[in-house]
Amino acid sequence: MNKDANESAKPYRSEALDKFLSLRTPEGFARTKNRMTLAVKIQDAMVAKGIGKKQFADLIHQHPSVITKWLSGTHNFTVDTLTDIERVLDVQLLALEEKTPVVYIVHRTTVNSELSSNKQTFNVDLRGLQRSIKGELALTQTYDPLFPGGQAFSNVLTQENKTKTSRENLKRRYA
Amino acid sequence: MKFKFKLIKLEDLCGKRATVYSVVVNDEEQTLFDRFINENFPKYQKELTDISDQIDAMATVHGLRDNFFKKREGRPGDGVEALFSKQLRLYCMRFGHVILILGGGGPKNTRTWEEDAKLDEENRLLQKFSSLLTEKMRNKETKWSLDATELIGDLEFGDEDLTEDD
Repeated sequence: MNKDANESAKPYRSEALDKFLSLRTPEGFARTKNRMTLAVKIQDAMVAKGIGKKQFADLIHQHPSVITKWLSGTHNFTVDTLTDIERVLDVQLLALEEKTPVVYIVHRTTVNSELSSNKQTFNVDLRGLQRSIKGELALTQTYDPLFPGGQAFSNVLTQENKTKTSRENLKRRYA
Repeated sequence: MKFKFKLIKLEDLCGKRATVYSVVVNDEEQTLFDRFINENFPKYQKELTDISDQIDAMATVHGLRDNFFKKREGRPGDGVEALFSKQLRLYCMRFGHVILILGGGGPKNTRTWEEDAKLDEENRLLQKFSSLLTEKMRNKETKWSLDATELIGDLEFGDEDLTEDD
């Protein structure tokens, strides 16, 4: 008998347990995790609205047993069902309106002064700029070297406000 | 029949949101959960994978939320619940929001678990364990660790604590 007041359970390994763990795949886990996340969001929204399973079932025209299944974390929802739930519970489950930021990453290169007078197409690393510019960026592919003997930047467009940031502004901001 | 239970921690299933255990009965070599896996693999491999993912997601991300467990899988108040995938049932118990104890189970092909001899046996075994562990915690022979993430103390419950009617 384990009578030590502070002793915890001894760790354990078994072939069966190893077999059980080996069944998992990253994609399978991602699906399960997302189903459970949806269940959590729905339940939290019900609590926030102060409605129980029966009331939610009435509002969405389903049987309470269906709600139980939705909240179990095992249900594979259709888009239509999620849309209906969003409307009834005033919760966001689908993030379809969010803009997906599009960022093009290219490599920075140093252009020496002999080349600075020529228009050339080359790659520029804008990682430093990404940290400062929020929203969406688009790069032109052809641009002039900016600084004599120095580094070059592209023209940068922010798609959110459709303004074009001039090379001079970039020089002032990030040089 | 008298029983003896020993609580076994399943480290590989534990995470930051839950600590997972199973039970060895009467000094058997495997836990109830090991037996569940061996009895249902490979016929119910897909369901076992689902349940494995569920346990992982609860232990690492979501915690042991109430709605993830099927209720009314034991007598009222005994704390026995079930994780499930399609018709496969894994009987288990929760203590607080961080302790999960896995028992045995099997496929449910009848309307109620009582109608299935195998599920009935697994359920009643975990009910016995549940009532005994509850008693041990009430007497403070088994208790929470200081950080409230695991059980410590008397983790083996002798058969003198049980009667044939339990």
